[in-house]
Amino acid sequence: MNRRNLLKSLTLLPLAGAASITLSPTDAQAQKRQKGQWTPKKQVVRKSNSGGNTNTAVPSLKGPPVAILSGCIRSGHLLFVSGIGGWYPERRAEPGDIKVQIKGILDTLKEVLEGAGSSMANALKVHMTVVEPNKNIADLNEVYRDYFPDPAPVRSYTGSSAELMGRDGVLVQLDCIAYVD
Amino acid sequence: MNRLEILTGLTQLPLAGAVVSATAFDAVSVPVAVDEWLPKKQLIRGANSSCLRSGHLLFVGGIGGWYANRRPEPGDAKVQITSALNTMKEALEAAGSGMHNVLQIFMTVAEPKKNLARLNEGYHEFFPENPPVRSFSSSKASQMGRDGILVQVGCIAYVD
Repeated sequence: MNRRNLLKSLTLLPLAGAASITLSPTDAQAQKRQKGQWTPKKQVVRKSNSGGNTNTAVPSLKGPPVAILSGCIRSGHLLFVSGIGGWYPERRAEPGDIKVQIKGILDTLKEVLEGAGSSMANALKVHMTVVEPNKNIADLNEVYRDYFPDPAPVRSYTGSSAELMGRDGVLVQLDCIAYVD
Repeated sequence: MNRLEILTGLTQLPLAGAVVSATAFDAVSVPVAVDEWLPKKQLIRGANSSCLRSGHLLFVGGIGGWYANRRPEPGDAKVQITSALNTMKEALEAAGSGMHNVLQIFMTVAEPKKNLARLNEGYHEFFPENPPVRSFSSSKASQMGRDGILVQVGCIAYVD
């Protein structure tokens, strides 16, 4: 809760330091225009889901790397959560098997949703990308089903292969839309 | 509505054999009329960047990174994401919203290890501030539906 308020207040700060890094005069104009269009119906509740790891950054010519996605966004009574990967080397030495990875993801998801004032019980829709689902989905489900009280969220997934996951070692990525009061 | 009237009419017929079907009608006769729902789903735009509105949400269907009738060469991932997001921008603005209101992005990326970094370079220019949440599935170049396509991207956005 404290953290949430902190993040909230951070997004409201005039971003003195952060803004100056990337601003050229034309950028400033563009940003001003964007601020005018800004609507409170979109609010970043969380900048990153796992210590910056899911917050993919791109190098910027004008300063430090720029984050290109948010961790969790609220709009009205909905929360949108970014894809959470099954393994981040910064968090765990070994990638582990599918059970370890889905557990890591769902623990993170729980933390994100609760931090935003919701809970796993309010998860509406889950989408996953799963490596070799024929091999992994049964084990994944074993861990998965304990995380959501009835009724479980709707779910869909896309199958993939290990070398297509963007990073070595990752077996699953999961994102979610949830209700929040 | 016509259908509803016919159905209601049918249940009122004094048909001896209709007892069975009448119970079936009872089961579906919930007090929510069909046409109360329909306006909540509105087609804003079809084809290539289909866009539906429901309440304060816009759903934009997958936009491909390359359409042969628009650009002679497929180009790399940066070219393709820029083109797709420009189309998305157009669709959202036509619907009364804009890129600053994008809540969630979903992409399918061909060979992400090769293409994702380049894609991100083009991507972040569209979302300089408060970027949307994002997730992606990956595929092989040969599984993208058409040759040459490296990315397909869709979104959910807020609209006033």
